Amino acid sequence: MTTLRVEMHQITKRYGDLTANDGIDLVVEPGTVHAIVGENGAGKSTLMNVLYGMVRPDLGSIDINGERVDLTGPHDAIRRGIGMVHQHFMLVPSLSVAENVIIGSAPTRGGLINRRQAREIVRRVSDEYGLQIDPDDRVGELPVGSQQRVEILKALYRGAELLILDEPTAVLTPQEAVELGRVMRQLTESGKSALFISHKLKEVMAVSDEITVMRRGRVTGRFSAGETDERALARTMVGREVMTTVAKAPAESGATVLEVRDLAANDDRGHQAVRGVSLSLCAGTITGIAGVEGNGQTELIECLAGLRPTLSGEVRLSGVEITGASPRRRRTLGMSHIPEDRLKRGLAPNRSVAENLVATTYRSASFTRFGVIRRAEVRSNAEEAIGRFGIAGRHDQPVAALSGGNMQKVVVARELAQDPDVVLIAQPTRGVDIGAIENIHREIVALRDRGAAVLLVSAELDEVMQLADDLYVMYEGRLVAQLDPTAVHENEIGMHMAGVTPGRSNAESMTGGDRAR
Amino acid sequence: MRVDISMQRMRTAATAGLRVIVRQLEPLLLAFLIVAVVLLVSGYDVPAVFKSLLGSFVTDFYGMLRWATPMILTGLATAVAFRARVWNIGMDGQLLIGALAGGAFALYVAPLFSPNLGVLVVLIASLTGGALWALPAAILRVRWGVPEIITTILLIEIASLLVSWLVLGPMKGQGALGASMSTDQVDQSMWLRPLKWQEPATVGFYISVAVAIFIGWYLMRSRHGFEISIFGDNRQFASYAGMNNPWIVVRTMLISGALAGLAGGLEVLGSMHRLPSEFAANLGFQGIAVSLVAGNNPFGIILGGVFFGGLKAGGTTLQLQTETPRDVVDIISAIVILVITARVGYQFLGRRQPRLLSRFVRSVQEKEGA
Ligand SMILES: Nc1ncnc2c1ncn2[C@@H]1O[C@H](COP(=O)(O)OP(=O)(O)O)[C@@H](O)[C@H]1O
Ligand SMILES: [Mg+2]
Repeated sequence: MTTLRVEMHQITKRYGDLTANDGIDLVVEPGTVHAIVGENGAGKSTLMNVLYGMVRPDLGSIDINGERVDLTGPHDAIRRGIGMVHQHFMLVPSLSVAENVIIGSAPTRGGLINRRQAREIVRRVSDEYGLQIDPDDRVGELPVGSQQRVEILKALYRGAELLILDEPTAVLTPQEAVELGRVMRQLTESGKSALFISHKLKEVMAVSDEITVMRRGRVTGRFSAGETDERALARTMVGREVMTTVAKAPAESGATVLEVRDLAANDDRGHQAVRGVSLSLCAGTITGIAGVEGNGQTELIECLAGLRPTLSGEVRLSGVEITGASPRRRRTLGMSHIPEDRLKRGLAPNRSVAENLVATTYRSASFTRFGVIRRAEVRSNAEEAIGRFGIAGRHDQPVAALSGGNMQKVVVARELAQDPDVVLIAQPTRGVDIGAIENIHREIVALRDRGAAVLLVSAELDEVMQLADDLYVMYEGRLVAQLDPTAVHENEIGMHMAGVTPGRSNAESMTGGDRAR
Repeated sequence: MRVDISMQRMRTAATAGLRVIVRQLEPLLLAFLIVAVVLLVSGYDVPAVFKSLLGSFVTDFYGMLRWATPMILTGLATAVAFRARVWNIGMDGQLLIGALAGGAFALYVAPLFSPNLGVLVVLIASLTGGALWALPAAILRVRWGVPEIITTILLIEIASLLVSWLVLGPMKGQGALGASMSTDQVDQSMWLRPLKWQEPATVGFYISVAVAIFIGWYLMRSRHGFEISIFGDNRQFASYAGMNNPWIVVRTMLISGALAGLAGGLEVLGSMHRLPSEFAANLGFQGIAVSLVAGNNPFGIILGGVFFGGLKAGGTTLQLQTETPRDVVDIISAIVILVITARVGYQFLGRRQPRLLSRFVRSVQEKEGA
């Protein structure tokens, strides 16, 4: 087996007026874990796709072991020992691990697929790198972390010496992420290398040897993990000093505002996604729900917002039953909602910032008189919000012309404008740059301090742990634990997120909707 | 310094405006090109055809306005619906029923009133008729999710059969006219006044323009207009924001149908002065082309309506002068619709739009910027 040394020289890729990669140099030494960090849109994926032969650069060259190569496509990259694990796995759920691994390049005997040999290969590779995968498991039944390892195994089976992983930990529980880090380290022992993208600086610091920071299509910093810290990385990523923790006083809990009892709801495919959730939100409190995505959090929030039918259960807002109420009625009763997918649900992208800012309140007398929109008021409302939330944009610009972070600010500005009593917040900082995250966190805490009851759902464990005053973990449609975010260890939350109940404290864990506290 | 900035702003605004116009003209030019090729291949005298087609803009000014009158209205009907992404393409049916309602009221009800009031009653009847004909499609859509793009088309056929049956049966005219498959004539006191003696265009044209201005205002300023634009941009967002989506669809369809119906009423009072059993001028269909060319903008629709009105008028002389079938005009509209929908579809798939002339504009812009 030969090791692989990859050099990328002056890689430049333009999309129209936008330069996604601007003269990037990158060297990946064999036997190292190399991390690429950078804000959204920095050009990380583009660079990786260039290396995997999926995107052809406009300028620049790639050398593999000193030899200039012209990658014509992924098959070419694979042939030269470069493998890639995409964020969306390309596996067949109904087939076994072994079958998935050998698809397309199966060992054959007399024209027939040699299953026995395939199983042996899988077992051998799995043992070698500590992947802990059973070749006979059905892929569809495996948890996401294991599926990802099947993808890794597939790449290794095809002879990958350099493994590219594009944001591999975005879909993992904390434990799974740690496990992945261990696998990457193990790869380097046999001289292989891993090139992975992440925006979680903590894990980057933990597993990588080399770190390359990108901003706006350029490399803004190269570090060895030993010589830097998270703060310096964040500064290089954003281009200015960033606060990573939120200052927050203890909560002053008030009366119960939103009461949910035994709520159940289906997902879009008609499978039950929320299975008997009970919780109460108090004024002046942030209630966080942690959990790996896809465990019913989305459906729970949509159901509470009136955007998804309720199968059973009851919801009361300030004592008023609102179980089947329309979104409009909920809004008039003081509920607002920052949805997880702002472009799909939270904005009209081709309409102006000003229009988006009044889309939930345009009916009120301050914006409409005799069925006619009061344009001056709509405009001054927008200008005020733009100033208060620091939205980089004009009132008459279409929202789609803003950056992700500014779009999010438009949503936040609109949803907080009415001084709501209850705010449902889902993934508030997804796709938002580090620099803007800090602001959004501060707004959420300020909202709480003004006496609102906040329900916060986030896949970022750090985020919920920092912000929440009261913390639940959601797993397979149920709230499986209620925890004290100041006292609990990340590992324990991680176990709950993975559906494992930690043996010791039964007082804190719960089953179904029965609250133990 | 300040002067500089405002100059630059004006220039960007001007190039942006130019770009919009070019973008809208592209499909038209493409349509002309394709038609030219088709005519050439079929052995027609292409220069003569275009001369006579476009000549009517000058020689048949009032003919142009006469056809612009209904086309502006069906164009507006299209714009209101399409802005909400409600695909009412059955304006021809709503126009027929508008004409039927208008005709019936003109014959049987309006004589009870003074002529002016009579005209008003007739026009209100045609508005209502068109709206009612759009209603079933709206209800099927919001209640059972039946695509309006199908139901509105089917309702054209039904409208056409209904009108034929009524005009050849219960509403059949008495005198010499009766023999020619139409109702009696509407009382002359209610005919719309021509803009010029013995010319085909009437004050109906002013009505169309006024309605266009009103609809422009309505879409941009009214609460319903606001809802239409939000709903048309992102339905999921509209429901999230607490808008009543079914009601938005129903209201939009009613307005759209009413506008097409009004076009029918004006046809009866302004041009036909009776209700024939059949009149297939494809005015609804042409309205789609008018609105698309105008980017669904009511003020642009006035221009678009006049332009397609000119083509339509030209089509009539065309047949006389060059023995080319007047269907050429419909072919042009059809190609325009195809090109624009293809372009929108392209956008929908997230691809870059194919560009012909806009590339030229961009190069001009770049030079300017340099
Ligand atoms: N196929 C494409 N067409 C146009 N623009 C693209 C394309 N792919 C990426 N971009 C743009 O290039 C920039 C860098 O994107 P990407 O490499 O995905 O960033 P990252 O992975 O760092 O978030 C972004 O602004 C993105 O919108
Ligand atoms: Mg990316």
